[in-house]
This record gives sequence, structure tokens and C-alpha cells, in this order.
Amino acid sequence: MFLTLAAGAAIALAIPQDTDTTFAVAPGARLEVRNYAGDIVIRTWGQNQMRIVADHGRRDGLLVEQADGVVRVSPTSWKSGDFDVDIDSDDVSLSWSFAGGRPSIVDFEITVPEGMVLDIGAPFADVTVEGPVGETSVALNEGDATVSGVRGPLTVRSVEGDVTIEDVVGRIRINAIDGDVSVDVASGDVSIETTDGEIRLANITSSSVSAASVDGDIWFGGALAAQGIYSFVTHDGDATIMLPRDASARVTVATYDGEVLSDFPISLPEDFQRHRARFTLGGGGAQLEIETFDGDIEILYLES
Amino acid sequence: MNVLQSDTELTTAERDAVDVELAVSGDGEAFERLYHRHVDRIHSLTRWLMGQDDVEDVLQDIFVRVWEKLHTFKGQSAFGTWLHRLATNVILRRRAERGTYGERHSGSAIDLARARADRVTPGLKIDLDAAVEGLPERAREVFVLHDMAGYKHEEIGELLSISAGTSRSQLHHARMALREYFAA
Amino acid sequence: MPDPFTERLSAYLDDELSAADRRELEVHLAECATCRSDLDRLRQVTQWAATYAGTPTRADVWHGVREEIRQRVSPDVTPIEAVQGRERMRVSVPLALAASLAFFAVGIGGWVAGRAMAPTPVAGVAATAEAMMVSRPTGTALLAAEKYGAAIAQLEQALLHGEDRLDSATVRVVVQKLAVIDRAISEARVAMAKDPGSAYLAEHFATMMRRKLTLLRSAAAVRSS
Repeated sequence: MFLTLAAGAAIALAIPQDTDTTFAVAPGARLEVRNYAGDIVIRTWGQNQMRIVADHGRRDGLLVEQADGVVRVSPTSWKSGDFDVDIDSDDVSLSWSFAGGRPSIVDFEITVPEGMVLDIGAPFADVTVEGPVGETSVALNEGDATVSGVRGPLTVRSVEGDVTIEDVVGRIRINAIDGDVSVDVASGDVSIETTDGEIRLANITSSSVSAASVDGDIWFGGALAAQGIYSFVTHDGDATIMLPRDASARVTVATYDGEVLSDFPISLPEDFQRHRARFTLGGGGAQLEIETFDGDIEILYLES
Repeated sequence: MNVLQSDTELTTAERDAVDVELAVSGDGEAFERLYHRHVDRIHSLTRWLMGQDDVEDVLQDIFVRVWEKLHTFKGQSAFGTWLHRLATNVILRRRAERGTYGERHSGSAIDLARARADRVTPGLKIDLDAAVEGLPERAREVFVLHDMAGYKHEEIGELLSISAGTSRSQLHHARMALREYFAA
Repeated sequence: MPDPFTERLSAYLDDELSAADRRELEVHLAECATCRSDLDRLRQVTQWAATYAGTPTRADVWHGVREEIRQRVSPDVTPIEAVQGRERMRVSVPLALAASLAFFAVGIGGWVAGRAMAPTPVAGVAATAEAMMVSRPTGTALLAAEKYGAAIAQLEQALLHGEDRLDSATVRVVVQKLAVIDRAISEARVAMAKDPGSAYLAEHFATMMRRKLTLLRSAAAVRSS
């Protein structure tokens, strides 16, 4: 079924059952998807149209509206404040009761124009984005986020699930709580925090990288920009930093109960004190800080 | 939870759970009980994945690591399962550091009959331990990781840099080779 | 010529066959005694692997384990040494096992119970500051305790009394991961007590407090709507 929604028009369309619909979108429009549960897959094509394929059954429908440069897509059951939680506490444990309508599960497969700006929010969904897309924001409670081909800032917030990022040109901000984070091939500032999970960064071209975990290993492989600032911090995990042989950086390593191993010929530290040491690689251009508490630090050669 | 009459009524998993709690709070004897209860199996797992070199050294590393990380065991799986995973991590890391295990053992299958003759256990007609050791390297690794340590094929694929499909076929080969030691 | 169904036996045993392949194999098994025998023996192999007790070591490994653990409990500082072209620095002062693990023995219930007994943010801050005074913190650590303690206590109360709406699955994860950070904070605190003059430890403690605050704010920002 092909529909034409006039660009700029405020049209709401309730689609009663499983859906496969395509319509024109205004140039420069952005997509906002909200979904309680189910998978969300975003792909691109070279047309100024949007195709929505949704598996939602009869109990729910889709709401698609285009207004003021925003295309909003959600199940018809979605609205703010639907799901209330009452919290009782006693001395031993927290107990929860759930009040509210039974949420529906909707799987989306949406094809958007290349370069479209995306805003995806879903409490329980796996989200996959295959670009090239523009600025992208993904917010999940429970589910994996797999994003590739972003040309613009990328923000991912996740409570429980892995975050896998590839091929981004733009600033990256990832805030995860329980999940591994992986970024491969990216240029732009990178800031990643996870509480319980590993962080793996490869082929990063950036002058600002910050990766922090509490309970998880950190692995970084890439070149350091001349005046770049790089920080890798974990509490209970190992930090492995792989750099080109001609890396140039002022390095600070700190650990409480770990070892420091280096492929690089480290000079005696210029400023050594208990638990923290500083030394210089090459000409000392970039600033590199590596901190663990209960884990080893390895600074190794990156072999291409 | 019912109060049990005697320690002999506890299953291994229950004994483990009790000893983990005690060890975490500083009871060295409890940790020693955990060690003795599991060391033989972990010894075999280590030998099958490492070869004969450095086995005791790695085994020591494994149990020191268990002591270090015991407070992270949250009871979401059986202690034995958690222990196998930790041991495998230590072993594979040691192998990667050595970097030579694959070079020394790749492609060469130990003659099953010779291995059996070297390790005959008095009173036992069939020595399965030697049979596992006699498997071709890749089949042995996959068998140990899957059937002993409980890894899924996708996980084994990542650990050994092979496809899940290869892991499945190697597991099948290992099991088929070992089946001859069991009566129909 | 090998039986083509034989190749599927392991996958069948592991419940990895598609429904169609499983049905096809089961029809074959009803007719093929060899495959039935193989399947049974494969099952015995897996059962043996699952329960195999292993073989004893020849050397006394326990002695080495015990000695290494004993050495780690005692403070130890090793200067820089060159080992095979790699320079190694050992900057370790190991944690006391009991101190670092006592928190875990308390677990999530303890976290909740502790907070339930501190109904106001002021009380939360006071409790945190008192703990810090006992361990003679550096200025950085005291500042962190005061600066973050009030905000942390406030957000914890909000979480506890449902001022922010969170679905139960999210709350479960947040509570579990707060335990991860609380353990890190506890370990940092113990370490500072052993080495109160260490700026690194004080800053690390402050970093963990900040992470806890960030986590609570993230939880507050996450809503089911």
C-alpha cells in the first residue's frame, strides 16, 4: 500500500493490522520511533520516501504522523505514563507491582532516506541501524543496540544490553549500565561509560577518547593525535592499550592491585609515587591516562 | 529452606554454595575444601587445553584467580560452571601469551593407541582420559569447552577464532571418536 | 558409505536441529539400530564429560596456591625490573580478603536495609562522612563524600520510594549494578585506610562516587514512558 503524505502536513494515520506502507517524507525530516517492546531495524535507501513494515498483530495498530519536519512512528498503545510501578520496601528487599495495560510487542523494519536524523526510544527492544544516517539517538532499557554508518553525533543510552557501533563520523556518547560496548572505525570525540561490561575500541581517529567501566576490561587500539587527550579507567578489569610504535604521549598509569606491562621501552618514571607512575613515549605529544584498581595495565605495540 | 540433618545429605552444588559463602567471609579451610573438590577436574581440563607443559603452574594461577574473584560469584550459576569459565579464561590467556601452543601442536594428532598405552590405569580396561588427550587438537578443544565447560558453539567460535559451524562438526567428530569406549 | 543421518546425531542430542530435521531423524532412528546405538553412546560420552571427576596432579599444587595467597595478603612493593625486554612495574598492595568481601556477604538486602535506616539525605551524608573520618581520608576523599553523598542519598531515596517511575526489570538491573559500584567504593575506601596519603586512591574513590551518582541519575532519567 503506497500512501502520500503531503510534506509538512499534520496527518495522523492509524493502520489497523500488520503493515507494509511507503510514503513520501519532507526533505530534512527526522524520524522519531517509540516502541515498548519488539525489534526495531532501520535501513536506508536513496529515495525521499519512508517504508514501514511492522508486525504488530490485530490487538494493536500503528500511529504514523508527519508534522513540522518530524515523522513519528509508534504503536497506537504507546503513550506516556502508561506503565506505573508501585514500590514497597521493607528491611530486606524491594518488591514491585505492575499496574497498567498489557503492552503489545511490535517489530519494526523501517527504510528511511539516507542521512535521516533518528531518535529511537524503546524500553524492551533490540535496535539495529544500518546507515548512512544522520545524527542518531538511541535510548533503551533492555535490549542490544547495533548501529553502523552514522554521519553526525551518536548518542546511545542503555540499561541492560550490548552496544555495538561501527563506522561513525561524529561525536559518540555511550552510557550503558549492564552491557559491553564495542566501537570500530570511528572519527570524532568518543565518550563511553558502562558499569558492568567491557569496552572495546578499535580504529579510532580522534583527539579525545574517554572510556570508563567499573567492572569490565577496556581495550583500545588506535593512533594518538598530537595534542589529544585519552583516558581509560576501570575498577575491576584490565586495561589493554595498543598503540603504533611511533606513538607520542605523556602517560600516567595508576593501579592499586595490578601489574603494568609495556612493549615500549619505558624510561624510569619522571614522577613516581605509590600506585601511580608517569613516563613519556616518543616526543610526549598526546596525554594518555590509564587507571585500574584491581586489574593489569598493558601498553602494547599495535601491529597493522 | 529446610534444615538438613547432616552434611552428607548435601549435594555437591549445595556444599559448594556453603563453602563459597564461608570462603568469601575469610574461611581459609572452606576455600581449601573448594579447591580439593574441584582440582582434579580442572587439572584434566587444563591438561587437555594446554598440553603437558606448565600444567601445574597454570593450575596454581587458576586457583589463585578463584580466590581473587570469588567475591564476584553471585550464585547465578552453579559454582562449578563459574569455575570452569574462569579456568578457561586463565588457560586461554596463558596460551595467547605463550603464543606457541598452536605452533607446537597444530595439525598433529597423537596416536590414540600409543597414548592409551602410555597412561594405562591399573584395573581399568579403558582410559578415557587418555582417549580425550589422543583426540586431534581442535576436536579436543571443542569437546572440552562444550561438553565439560559448558560453552555454546558461538562462544567457542569466538574463543578459538573458528566458526560456530566448525565448532559443531569438531564436537561431533570428538564424540564419535570417544563413543567406541562405551557399550551400546 | 557413511550413514548421512549420523552427522546429525550430535546436533539432535544438543537439541539444535530444526523441527523438520528432527522429525526426519526420528523416523530414521526408529528404523536404524546402528544410529540408535550411536546416539545412545554419544549420550554416554556427554554424560561422562559432564560428571568426570578428573585426574589428580602429581605435584602439590595446593601448597603453591596457599603460599601465593599468603604473599598477596602481605604488603609488597617491588621496584621496576626489566624482564625479557619488557619493563614491569609492580605497584600492588593487595586487598585484605575479609574487608573487601564483607560487603558482598551483605548483598543487595544490606544496601536496601542500610538506606531504609537513613530516611533523610542529611542522615545519609552524616553516615558517609562518619565512615570516612574513621579511615582518616585525604581532603579529596572528604570532599567527594560530602559533595556526592547528599546527591546520592537523595536519588537513592527517590528510587526507594518510587518518585521516579521505573519498570521492575530496569530497577532490578540498576540495583544489581549499584552493588557493583558500591563494592568498588568499599574497596577504594579500604585501600585508602591502608594508605591515607595516596592522592591516586583518593581520586579513585571520588571517581567511583561520581560514577554512582551518574548511575542513579541515569536510572532517574530512564522511564517506561
